[in-house]
Amino acid sequence: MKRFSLLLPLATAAAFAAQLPPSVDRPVDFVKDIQPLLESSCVKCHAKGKDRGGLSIETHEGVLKGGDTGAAIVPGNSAKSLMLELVASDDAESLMPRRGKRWTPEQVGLLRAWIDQGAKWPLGLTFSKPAPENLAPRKVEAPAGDGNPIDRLLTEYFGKHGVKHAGPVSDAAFARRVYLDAIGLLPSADQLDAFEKDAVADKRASLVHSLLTDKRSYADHWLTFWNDLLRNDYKGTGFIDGGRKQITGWLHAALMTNKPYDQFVAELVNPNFASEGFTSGILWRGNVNASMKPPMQAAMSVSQVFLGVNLKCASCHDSFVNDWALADCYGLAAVYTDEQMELVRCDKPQGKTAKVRFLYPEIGSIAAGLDRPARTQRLAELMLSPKNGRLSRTIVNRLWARLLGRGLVEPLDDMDKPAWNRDVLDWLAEDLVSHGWDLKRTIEVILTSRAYALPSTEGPRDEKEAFIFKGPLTRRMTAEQFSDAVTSLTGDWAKLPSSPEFDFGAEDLAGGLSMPRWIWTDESADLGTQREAIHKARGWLASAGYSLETANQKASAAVLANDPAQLAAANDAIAKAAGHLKSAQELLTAAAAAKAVGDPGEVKVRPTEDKHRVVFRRHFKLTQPATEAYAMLAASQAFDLSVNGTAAKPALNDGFRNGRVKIYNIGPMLKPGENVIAISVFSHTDKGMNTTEREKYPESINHLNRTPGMAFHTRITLAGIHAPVQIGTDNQWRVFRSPEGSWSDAKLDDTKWSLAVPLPDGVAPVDEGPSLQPVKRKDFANTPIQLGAILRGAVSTAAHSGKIRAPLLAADPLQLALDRPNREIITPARNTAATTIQALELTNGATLDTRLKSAAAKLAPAIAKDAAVAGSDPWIERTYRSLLNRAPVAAEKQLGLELLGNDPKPDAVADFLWALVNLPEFQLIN
Amino acid sequence: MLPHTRRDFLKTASAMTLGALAARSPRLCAETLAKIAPRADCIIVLWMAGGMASTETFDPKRYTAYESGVESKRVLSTFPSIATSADGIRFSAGLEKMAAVMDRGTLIRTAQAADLGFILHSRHQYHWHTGYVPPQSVAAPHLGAFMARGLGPRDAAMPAFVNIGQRFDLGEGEELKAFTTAGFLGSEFGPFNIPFPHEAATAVRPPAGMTPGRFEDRNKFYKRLLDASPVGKYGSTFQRESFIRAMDNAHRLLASPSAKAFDLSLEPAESVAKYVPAGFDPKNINSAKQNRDGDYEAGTIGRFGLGCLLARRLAEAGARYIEVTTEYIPFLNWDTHENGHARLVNMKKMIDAPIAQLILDLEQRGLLDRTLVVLASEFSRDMLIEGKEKSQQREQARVPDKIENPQFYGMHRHFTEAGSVLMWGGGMKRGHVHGETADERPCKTVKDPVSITDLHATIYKAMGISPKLSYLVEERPFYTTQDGKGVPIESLYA
Repeated sequence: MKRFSLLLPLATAAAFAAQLPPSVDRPVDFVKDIQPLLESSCVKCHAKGKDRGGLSIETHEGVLKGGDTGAAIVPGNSAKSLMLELVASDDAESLMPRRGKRWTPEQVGLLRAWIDQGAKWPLGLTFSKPAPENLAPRKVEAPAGDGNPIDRLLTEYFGKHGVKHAGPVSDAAFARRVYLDAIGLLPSADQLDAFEKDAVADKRASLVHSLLTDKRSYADHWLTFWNDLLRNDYKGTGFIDGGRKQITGWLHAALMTNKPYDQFVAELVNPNFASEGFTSGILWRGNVNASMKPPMQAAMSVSQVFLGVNLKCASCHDSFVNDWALADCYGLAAVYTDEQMELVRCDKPQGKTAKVRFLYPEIGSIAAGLDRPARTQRLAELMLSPKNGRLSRTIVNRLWARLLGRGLVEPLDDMDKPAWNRDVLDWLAEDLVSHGWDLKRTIEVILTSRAYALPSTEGPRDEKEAFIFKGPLTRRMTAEQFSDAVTSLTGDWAKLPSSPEFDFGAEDLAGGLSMPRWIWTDESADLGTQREAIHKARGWLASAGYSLETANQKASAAVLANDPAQLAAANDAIAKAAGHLKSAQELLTAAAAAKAVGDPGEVKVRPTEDKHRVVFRRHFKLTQPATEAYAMLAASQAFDLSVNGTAAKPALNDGFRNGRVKIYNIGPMLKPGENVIAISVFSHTDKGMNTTEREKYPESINHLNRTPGMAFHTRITLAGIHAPVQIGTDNQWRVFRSPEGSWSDAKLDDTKWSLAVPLPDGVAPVDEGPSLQPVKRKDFANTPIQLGAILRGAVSTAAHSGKIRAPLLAADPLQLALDRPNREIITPARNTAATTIQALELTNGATLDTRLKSAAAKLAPAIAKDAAVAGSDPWIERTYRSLLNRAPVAAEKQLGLELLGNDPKPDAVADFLWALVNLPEFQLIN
Repeated sequence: MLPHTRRDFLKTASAMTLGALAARSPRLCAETLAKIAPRADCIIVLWMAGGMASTETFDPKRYTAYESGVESKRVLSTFPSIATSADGIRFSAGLEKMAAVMDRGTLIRTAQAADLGFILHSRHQYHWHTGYVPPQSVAAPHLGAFMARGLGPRDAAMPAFVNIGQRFDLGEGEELKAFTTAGFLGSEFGPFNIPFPHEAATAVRPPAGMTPGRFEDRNKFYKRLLDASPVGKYGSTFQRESFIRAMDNAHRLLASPSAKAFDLSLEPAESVAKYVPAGFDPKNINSAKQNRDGDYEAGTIGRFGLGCLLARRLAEAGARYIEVTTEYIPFLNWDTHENGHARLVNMKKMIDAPIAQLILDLEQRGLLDRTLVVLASEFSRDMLIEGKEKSQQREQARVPDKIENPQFYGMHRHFTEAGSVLMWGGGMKRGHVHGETADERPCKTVKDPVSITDLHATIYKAMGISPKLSYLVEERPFYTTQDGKGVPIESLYA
């Protein structure tokens, strides 16, 4: 990177002056002639806090002092002034300005004249950084009067811009909007009927309030918004190598409990175990570019999401589009690392170490020398400082944009831009802060405003057209809203979410659930040579027996085929296997005998493979068949689960790298009467190690976690019985280390096994991952995982199966086509354009087709039954009411009747539904 | 069936732009760039997924036959070399048919992959396909998406960007998805994915179980319902229009004659036979066991061939960017961590005949001059070197000093310092070789290295797109080649 590279020998003044354009021949006025030149060409790099090449022209003194290569000007002598040489240079390397147009000879002449006339500078004039926009808090009083303060504040705005609008939208249109905005679902026909019939004066406000009070629906819906913003997802890049961590459990619980936004931000900026995924970023295996190292990602994410500051340019170089510098981004990044970070500009190390700093010194600073926890804590304090009006403005602007289609400030991530109405922005921000940072309140205030209830409008048609707020912009359903609306037709909701972290009970997990305990065995991993020897010998015995049997089969086959060569080979194998069988038998006898003489030391056989396998078993009786049972199983190491002798396949794995938490659908495996659950927990496999490492560090394969443990829980619903049965890890689990025989066999005799031992209160196992000593895997982001924090969510996720909505599921092809983002990057607002690829998916994609087909198969018989009595009319009307939230007009009804007839077939029902959900009217929120 | 004219397409395009504006889609940078006359109108990328060893394919070195106890360090190539139709250019044995069409193509032997440390295939593939190394702070678009955005389809009823042969539910699927996307350009320019070429027709047919008649009726019903709707009198008309337009476009593709291009059953049997080995049944692909001893490759040989055939049909029908992959599956296909030699015998069978036939067919139809065919891989392989010479990378395959078992005979490590790229047609030189690699290990570039950035610049320029073309995303420019720095390799153009 070229800087102020002025080490060229200066030409003699005379020769140099001869090449210069002449001075203009008139008195020069700084403000009129010079200031615009400096502003367009120089201040970007040499003022407003920046001093490229050491030169700052913020003040007259700065200009006179000059930069790394000396004074910029010599008042009275333009020919000796470095600045002049640079703007008039023939050498492209040294020519200034570095970017933008070359100065014309007239412009150079103006600068010459100004210098020659003494370089006069108006007293007090500076090019310093202006006070940041939208930073200092500002209290705004809404004009006196009735109604929503937003509307009172907007009265003047509408007057000034001559905006006249029709009255609020109809009850039905309003209901459609607020249902979608508050909880993400369409109102059902019944809900709509009830609302329309309600004669109470403040029914709109009541509806908004009651929708927002539905904690689960609110949380499920707003998870979409926050997942996009915090780039949290259940699948995606990074998870493969432990280079990414979900914050799903934390986030959903925060929405369920409506966690105050100040605390919400504090926990993301200064994270705990459950929320650290946001600032730990996404790491791909291998080396990562300096500008995308995790602390840099944290700096970019924190500033973008919470402060509306885009540091993406500044992560690589001083920004050309805003005032942020490389050092600002590194300064914030330094909060998130204990390592010294060297500044790297466009891939070139700068030889400077990042110094921790906060973006807005006017709010406060972060002292050097604090340790990392103290730094993140301090950063959280600065974010929440009463002087920081940016935090509240940024979030209310995002909510406004989400609910009205366009922000008070746009782009949403550039809060350095002014709002189209400062009063509304500042009032909403202050209102949020003064009401305990209650986001639901802000949403409620907006949803109950007249501004929100205005008829929808189109917005500017192109970039040049100025934006005037006339009402909410037409928005489009999110992919998740579309998907849920389709699912609502039949109620075929998913049973399990795509992450086992959901604590659906939130603050009242109790909901009848008893938490399982962490249990383990107190039997030492060092089994004792005798048992090991017997164990091993039995293994050999079994394997020799198997070889013998196989060889016998081959021999019979050879006899049948009359193949002497094969027969000879088979006979050899038989002899060999018989020999093995004999020696295995001898070993076993020796091992058993050693016990008799009390001298286990004699036997020198040690199992190496299996001694860390710990098996747990639990027997229980059920009085009825199980109608539903999802089970959660978590352990510090790898595990398998079997129910009544059959291996269970997990329905869901955790979002971490190791699969240490799994959820199983065991309902179909249970039976009335005796049942047994068997769990085999084994040491870390060598997964993730290559052959070289495996050979080099054999101990790693068998390395144990320092705090092992296992927990299990299931809630079983029995046919015809109201109270579900719970089986958790309690004091009735039997345990044995490295047992012989098939651990999963329902008939295995485990009566002599000891009882499992609970871990002490407050102690939870830790999954130390494959980065165990001595194999240090620095190219992975693996960190130990505290299993204690995940138990509650996993138990809750499994126990609350059913009615799982799209935001809680990994994206399917339909949702991807409808522009659900992959959350590699922060998505403040989604793409809303209708595209051909999307239309193709809607037209012939399997996802929608399958769901409509199954909906039609389910609905058709009932519709036909009703139609036999009253025709298809009532169903058509009802479907229009529930999907479009209005009644069909006569022509629409007629078309529906033509298609469906009075004996509708599933195909016709599916086609009818398909046409309806593909209407722009259905997908747009008007 | 709707006739589609140029006027129709323009109407579509303008409605799309309006929709895009409303959706905060990226704008083209205002900076004016000199117009570039395209040399090609269509591009077919043949993706050798998993790291194709150049010393076993297009840059053969000294051959060392297998014998028990042979020293690993002696082995550079496990196949002898053969002559090609181009003077002085030799290939590795097993590629005889491709060798016969080398006189129509340009071979780059010094394509270098970036040094990204500990190898993750999908990460290098991301780099190759977008020009940018992940992670990125904006969603980088795929090469095909840039083409779709910059040039659109050649036929209005065709998808501009078609991606053939990759499933996304196997290993590293999430990573593959991350770059098989239009990124910030928006999904309009995203890929039309066809994981199984033999099922391509279903991608442009009515949903399974729906007769064409019912499909047409459903669409007619939809149109009539739209007309009957009282809504649209107020509210966003252009958004409404863009929805209807998108549905029209989709229906037009599904109903158009172009859709027939997707249907391989319409291809004469003798023509299919040139792309696919006798007896190959695509239905067996799913049941092919994914083990690493060569069975998988042997069992799926014809799949890539069908992809090449489909690519030819789509090129004829007016697609803009078509990619056909041998498919990336960790540890399978070109990703040889063991049994490298044995598996490459099958990989060569997989690609040799169909690629040669593709070139001949394009030539015979007079399309080769305006169709650029590019064969590439994320990096090369070597028996000993992991990454590049002297890099401190983690070894990902076990390589004994002496090979006592054929399992260890092959290129099992990932080599980034030189790989082969082949280009045919589209205004490239014929019978030309670019760059030179060392004859002894490390077989790295000794002359004329080619970076991904410059390779892309060469491809973009051939298609008439400037390597400095950029779109504004979050107010900053995002370029077709990394930071706009790609420089076309002029000596490759005829």
